[in-house]
Amino acid sequence: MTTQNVAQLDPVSRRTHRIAVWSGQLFIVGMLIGWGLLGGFLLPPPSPAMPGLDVAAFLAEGGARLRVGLCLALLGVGGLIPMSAVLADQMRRMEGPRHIWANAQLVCAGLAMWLLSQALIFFAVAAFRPDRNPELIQLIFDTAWLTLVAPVAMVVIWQAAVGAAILSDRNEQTVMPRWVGYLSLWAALLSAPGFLGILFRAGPFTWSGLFVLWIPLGIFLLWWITLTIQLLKNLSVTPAADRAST
Amino acid sequence: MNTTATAQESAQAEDGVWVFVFGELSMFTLLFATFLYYRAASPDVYQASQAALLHGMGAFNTLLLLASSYFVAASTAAMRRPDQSALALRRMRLAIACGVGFVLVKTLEYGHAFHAGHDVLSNGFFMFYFTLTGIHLMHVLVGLGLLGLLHTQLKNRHAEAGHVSPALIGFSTNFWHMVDIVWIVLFPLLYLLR
Repeated sequence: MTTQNVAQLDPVSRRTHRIAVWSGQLFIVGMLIGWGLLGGFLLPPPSPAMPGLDVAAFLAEGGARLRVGLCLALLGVGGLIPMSAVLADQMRRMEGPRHIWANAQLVCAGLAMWLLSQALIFFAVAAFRPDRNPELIQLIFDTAWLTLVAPVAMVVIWQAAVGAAILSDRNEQTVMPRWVGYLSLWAALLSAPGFLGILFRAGPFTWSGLFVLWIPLGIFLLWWITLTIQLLKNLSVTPAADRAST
Repeated sequence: MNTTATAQESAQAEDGVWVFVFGELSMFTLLFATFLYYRAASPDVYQASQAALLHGMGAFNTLLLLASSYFVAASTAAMRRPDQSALALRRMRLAIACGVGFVLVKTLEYGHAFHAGHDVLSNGFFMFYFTLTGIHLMHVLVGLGLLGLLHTQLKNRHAEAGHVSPALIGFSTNFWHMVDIVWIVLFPLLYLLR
């Protein structure tokens, strides 16, 4: 059975695919605006060197704004799934009859949604009773941050799978440009040092540092936006143009 | 449109590799700049800790990577001539052997540092020493995997049971030279800087 070309999609399915890709942006909006801005977790990120009392004060000060931010982020992570489904659809066309990387990609997207939700829930638990024992607050706060930055295997495999699928594309007209494949592999390598967050409480390799938080976050955004543009571009290919290339 | 697939593919592969290499070199530049920034805050600690490193092993590793890079380039040169596929294969094996040698020497160095009571949490210098060389070592391992893949394809082609992908040649050799270049900056920064 051959996989359908996007150009062979009828207008209704095409619209569905587009909606699914756009819903992927909810994830970015939820994390950046909900968790980062309203939650205040990026402005600037609280250092792991912060004493428990200060963490409690940070959470108490955040109040309802912080918790509503977490709610937005918890909703937004859902956007990962529809967009990854469209990505998997296009990856199947890259891979031909066997879909190893497309399947790996879907599993990782599902796990990413689960683990991110888990981390956000830990943040929410810490903020739920900011008046409790500061040591307990610090414990759950550490748990939240490390759940967010340290499980790197999932995102490394995710990005590498997308890269591998793009580079293994044998279609005469490749589904995505090869540089997107190399970008994905680069992203996978940059995401890997996230686990260093477990080792340090000071310096550039802490959960609030350059190489554990900012670079993996930045490269994820770059990767996600690049994929979004490529997916939408493929969905706007007109049937006539496609017929000429196949 | 009627474009020749192979010409188009190799041209695109070349472009893509440079996205990757440029990105990686930017990341390492940032890592090195961060190291220098933190070093400037407490130069005495960094100076004293640096003396505990095994300079000879670091220098030997530099030679190993340079040799490995040379063998990769020499192997690529031989790959262009179909009658030299045995030579290309032999040179690739030498390149891989040097890379594996680098990993072994690095392991001994880490062992020595641990034995002397230094680890990643000891101080700022050792934090950078272990994380920078560790991130580099991770790249060496990925690079060895790529060279291993290329070696398998060369072997298959030599046995006339397959072909070598031009994209794989481009990616793996560029990757390997990049790993070498990064080490050539990393080595003086960590071992020699006064």
